[in-house]
Parts: sequence; C-alpha cells; structure tokens
Amino acid sequence: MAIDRRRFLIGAGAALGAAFAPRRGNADASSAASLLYVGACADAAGGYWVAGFDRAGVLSFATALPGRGHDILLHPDGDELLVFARRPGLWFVRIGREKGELRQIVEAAAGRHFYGHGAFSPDGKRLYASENLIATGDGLLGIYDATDGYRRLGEQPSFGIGPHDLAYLPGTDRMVIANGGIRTHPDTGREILNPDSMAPSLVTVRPATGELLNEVDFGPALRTLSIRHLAAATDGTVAFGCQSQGDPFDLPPLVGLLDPDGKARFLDMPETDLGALANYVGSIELDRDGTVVAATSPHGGMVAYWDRPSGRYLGRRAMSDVCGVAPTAVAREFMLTSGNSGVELSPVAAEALHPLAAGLADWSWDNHLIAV
Amino acid sequence: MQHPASGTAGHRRARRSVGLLLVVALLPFLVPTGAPAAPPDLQPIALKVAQEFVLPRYMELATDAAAERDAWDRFCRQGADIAALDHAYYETADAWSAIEILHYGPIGIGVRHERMAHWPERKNAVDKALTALLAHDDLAGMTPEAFAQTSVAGQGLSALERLLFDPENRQALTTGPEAAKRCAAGKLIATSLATIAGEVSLEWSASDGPVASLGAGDPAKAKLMVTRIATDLLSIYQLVGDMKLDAIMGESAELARPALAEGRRSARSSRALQLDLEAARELTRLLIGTSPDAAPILAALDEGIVLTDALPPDFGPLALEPAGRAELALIRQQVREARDLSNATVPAVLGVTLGFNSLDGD
Repeated sequence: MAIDRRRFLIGAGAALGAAFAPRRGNADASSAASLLYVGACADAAGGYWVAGFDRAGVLSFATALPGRGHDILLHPDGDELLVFARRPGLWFVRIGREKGELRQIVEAAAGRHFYGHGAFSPDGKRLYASENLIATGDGLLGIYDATDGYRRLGEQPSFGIGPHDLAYLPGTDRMVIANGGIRTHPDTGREILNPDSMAPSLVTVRPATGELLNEVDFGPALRTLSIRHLAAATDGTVAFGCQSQGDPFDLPPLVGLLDPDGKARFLDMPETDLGALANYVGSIELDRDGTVVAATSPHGGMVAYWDRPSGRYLGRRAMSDVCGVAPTAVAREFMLTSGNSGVELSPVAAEALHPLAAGLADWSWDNHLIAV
Repeated sequence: MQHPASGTAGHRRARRSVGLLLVVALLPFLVPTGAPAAPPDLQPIALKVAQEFVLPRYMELATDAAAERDAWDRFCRQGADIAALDHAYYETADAWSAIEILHYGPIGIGVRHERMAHWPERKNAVDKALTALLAHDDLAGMTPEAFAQTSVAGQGLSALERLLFDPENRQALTTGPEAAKRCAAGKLIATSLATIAGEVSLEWSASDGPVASLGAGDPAKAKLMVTRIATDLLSIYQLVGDMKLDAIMGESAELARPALAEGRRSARSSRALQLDLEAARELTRLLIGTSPDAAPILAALDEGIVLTDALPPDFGPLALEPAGRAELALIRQQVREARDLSNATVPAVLGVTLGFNSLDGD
C-alpha cells in the first residue's frame, strides 16, 4: 500500500471544528439538525480524508488520512470515531468525534491486514476488527483493548474467508460476521485468488468466548455471492448486502435478512430492478426506526428500499455513483453520498432526492457513511 | 507467490511507512483546513463536450427514433415493406450506440437509459417482458402512459429487435392472427423510444437545461458535468471489455457464449462495439485532447476501431474458434490498454476525482 507521507503530514493536524450533539438515531426529529454524518472521501488532488457534515450541508471537520479510508465506527461512549483503511488496510485511526482531531494511528499486526470494518463490544472496552492472516488467507477477528490505546490482545477465527463487515446484535453479546468468501493477498491487491472456491458465509459468534453459534451459507448455486455488509436492527434482525463475483449475466439476489432465529432469506424485488443494481450492493443500512432497508449500488447508480417488517419492495431511486448511506433523525429517510455527485437526502416516500450544499460535491465520497 | 507469515517485502515497507507516520503525525500541526484543491477551469471543456458530442448525438437519436416511430405507424396502417422497419431500426440502434455511453444528464432521470435498451439481458428479461406485453388484451388501445408502466425490459431497442428480427416473431409480425397485435406492440415501443429521445434532446438544450447552465458561468456546474461524463467514459470500458467481449468469449472456446452478444439478432453486434469505441474516442479527444496524455489512448482506440472493421456483422461466432478468438483478443487488448491509460490520466488531466465507488468499490 502506498502512503503519501508528505501529503498526510500536511493534513494531519487539519481539522475544522464545530460542535454537534452526540445523539445517534434519536427519535426526536428536532435533533435532525444536530446529527453529524461522517464518511471517508477524496479530494481532487488525490488526497484522502475523513469528513463530517450536518443536515444543512455544513462541513464540521476534514481530517487527512494516511490513505484511502473505508468504514467509520463510533465508540459506544460517543467521544471518538475509528476510521479503517480500505482493504487490504494496514491501519485504523482514532479521531475526535466533534472536531475530527487525529488521536492515534493503530497499525495492523505483523502478517495481518485489516478488511476495513470493525465493531465495539457493547461496553466499549473491546474492539474487534475483521482481518486477514496473510500467510494462509484465514479470516480473523483481531481483538483490541479500547481502554489501553487499542493494544492488540489477540485474535480468533472469523470462521470463514475474507471477513468484511461485523455487527453486534443490539443488547446481546453476539456478533454477526459477513465472511465475504474471497481470498486476497496484499501482493496482488484486490485480485480474487480463489474464484473457483469462494465460500461466503454469515456466521454468528460470541466474541467474548470465541464460540461459533450459527452459520449460514447459501449453497453451491450462490457460491460466488460475496456477503459484504450488514445492518443490525434492535430486534436482532440483520440486513445483509452482497456482491456477485460470478457470471455477469446471472441475476442472483443481493439483499436479505438474517432473522433472530438464525435463518436467512432474501428480499424480493422485480427482476428489472434487481438487474439495475448490476450484481453489486456497496452499502446497506436501516432507517432510524429500523423499518426500511436501504441498499446502494454504485455500479448501477441506484438505491433500493424495502419495508423490513413486511419484506415489501418500495422502489429505487437513481443517483450516480451512490454508495454511502446513513439513517437521518427522521423516520423513513436516508442521507446518501456519491463519488461524483455529492450528497443528497432521500425521503423514502418521495421519488426526488434533495441535494445538500454544493460544496460537498467537491469531495468524492467513498464507500460508507455513518450518522453520529 | 510468496506468502511468509510476516508479510512480503512490499508489505513490510508499507508497515514501516505507517510506523513513521505514527511517530510524526501526532505532533501538533497548525496548517489550516483540508479543503480540496481548486480544479482547473472546466467551463470550456464542458461546453465543447456538450456542443460537439452530446447535443448532436441526442439530436440524431431523436430524429432517427421519430422516423422509426413513423415507420411503424405506416407499417401498421398500410402493411408497408418490412425492410423499412429494418432500416429504421438500424438507424436508431446506431444512434443509440453512439450515445449510450452517457448516463449523465436527462437520460439518467428515472429509468430512461434502461427504457431505451435493456442489455445485458439477465434471466430472459426481454423475452418475459415481451411475452407479457403480447398477452395484453388491447394493445392497440394501450396508451403510452400505460405502456410506460410495463416492464422496462420490454420497452426499448432490445425488445424491438426481438420482435422484428427473431425469425418466429418476424413471421408472426407479417402474417397470421397475431400480426396486428405484434404491430401494435412494435408501435408502442417505437413511440416510447421516440418520446424519450425527443425529451432528452430537448431537455439538454432547454433554457434551463445543462448547456444553458454552463453558459451562465457556474464553475460548479461545469465541474459536475465534466466529472460525471468522465466517469461515464471510464465506465464504458467495463461495459465493452467485461460484458460485450469477455462475457461472450468466455475463458475458452468451449465456454464461449455467442448467443449473448448484444444485437446479434439484428446482426449488428460488431457495429455496436465499434460505435462504443468511436464514442469513447471522441469523448477522450474532447475531454483531454489538448494533453499529450491523450495520444496513446486515442491510438489504442483507433486501433480497436480499425480491428472492428474486419469483423463480420455479428462477432459472436468468432468466439467459438481459435482464429476468431485471436481477432477478438486483439480488440480486447486495445480496450484494456485504453482503459488502463484512461484510468491513469483522465482524472489527473482534468483535475477531478471520478466516481470511484462505481469503478472500484468494496
């Protein structure tokens, strides 16, 4: 991985500060203006950043990163954020939640790299990061002590290849892991080394003990369907989004739900709309109340919505290069970010999207967006 | 391949870099702000692309699609020579191939792009949509608004090609009890194509359209247009390379799938390929033609275009035998070269960051 040290040094201390209220998913619509949206992004000169903005489109901070970022994680205490490098990543950084000031860079352990995602234990004391044991390609959960400078405490198996997103089931000690099933190696970048033996799976583990509690795979017909991203609802249902690595003329389902009883099912949508997702979901999210599932496809330039309780498909909206998606403080509404079209608000009931301040389009927004 | 537990040499070097950063990056820095660098003036580039590429190509598409609609109307009323429908189809399909590269602008509103053509076709979507359409009781009485609510796979050129050129469908269009119904279906599709093409052409040149907004001198609009169109340019290489060539060729002759070639029923898969490359060449010239970096991209595309000249009308069967595969591989090589060069230079020359999620997501 190439890191532009000079550029990073210039930007490392750069952060524009502004206060915002630390409430995520607050049911009170009056909190809408104070919610902050944070995403990794790039500038026109090729520099990589993490930036936060509010509903009005006002930038709160922009902090330089050592390289391209991927997911962002809010510590349960609400004071700081972690930004993970895009896979194969060699770092994650701690930044302040309000001003985005850089607090620490944590390196990947020897012989391991990050996959771009992590999850905090409910008490906030442990961080689990999806990692690759480079020598063997085995998937790992790296375990870090969040109370001690993210000292690496050890690792445990992810029970699959290429773990990507992780999600704790709210109010429990159980975590769901999306094992993408794809083996890669830093020497060959993102090249898929096991196209003929992909083995994606959705597993549920108890991280505190390392126990495997449940495992779901979709069988040989969907062997090339890489399970990538997760969004957990408070009732223990987990929405998942997939990317097909198989025949581009196939039309596999891409979005599903893992029910609290450990059974997975795909969500229906018209075949033409499924085709419009171009066999690729980049991010998945639930709205404030957990009733609407949103799945973005930058390849198709589309976001698609489902009513979660009924599984009913609600339609799709077009936005070029859309990928980042986060719930707003308003029910049935999402904030969407794009690599080439800025940021737009999408009330699910409306066909139209509403662009935020034009200045946000100066940035090329990356894969994920979170609301904090 | 080396897989040491401690990581490879390159891996270790990168790790040392992070280590150095760790030490120095935490020192207090007083350098203000992280605003993106200002891009170069993109206004003249955007105007040139709009005036020399977008407007004339959509105007041609609107003209050809209107002529095709009229041809179907005449055919349905007078039973005119079916060759007139063939000709009208070829003209419209060519005009579409010349501008299908573009997703930015009015064509991107709603699902207009998909309604113009539905390719790649998955799970026989076009067949299923056409079958459902033909099962309708009163196609002659169906309004354009009602037709717009039917499956998008059955609304565009892909469905029209199936209706007109598939041998069984062609027979049923000219004789037999279903001829009138099939004619009505063709007219509905052609009317929809003409309507969308006309609307898109008008909207581009409207007083509040994209071109007018450029004339108002808003640099943000110019930047957005150039960024989006450059993203479309780089995306066409994926469509042409991965879908139109790779997926047809397969990894070997045994795995080739010539029946999937776009436009094979109307024997214009090679033409579609060539027009895609020609559109990419013209867009490259207009976007970065003044840069020396453009020359090798244009050369690769020129070579690819010349190679497509030698192909039969439908290149699909070439994928089944070694000599044909070699021919296609040469074209694919030029496409890949143009793609790699473009990825490396187009954003840098224009000073923009393209939509990297669609080009390189995770």
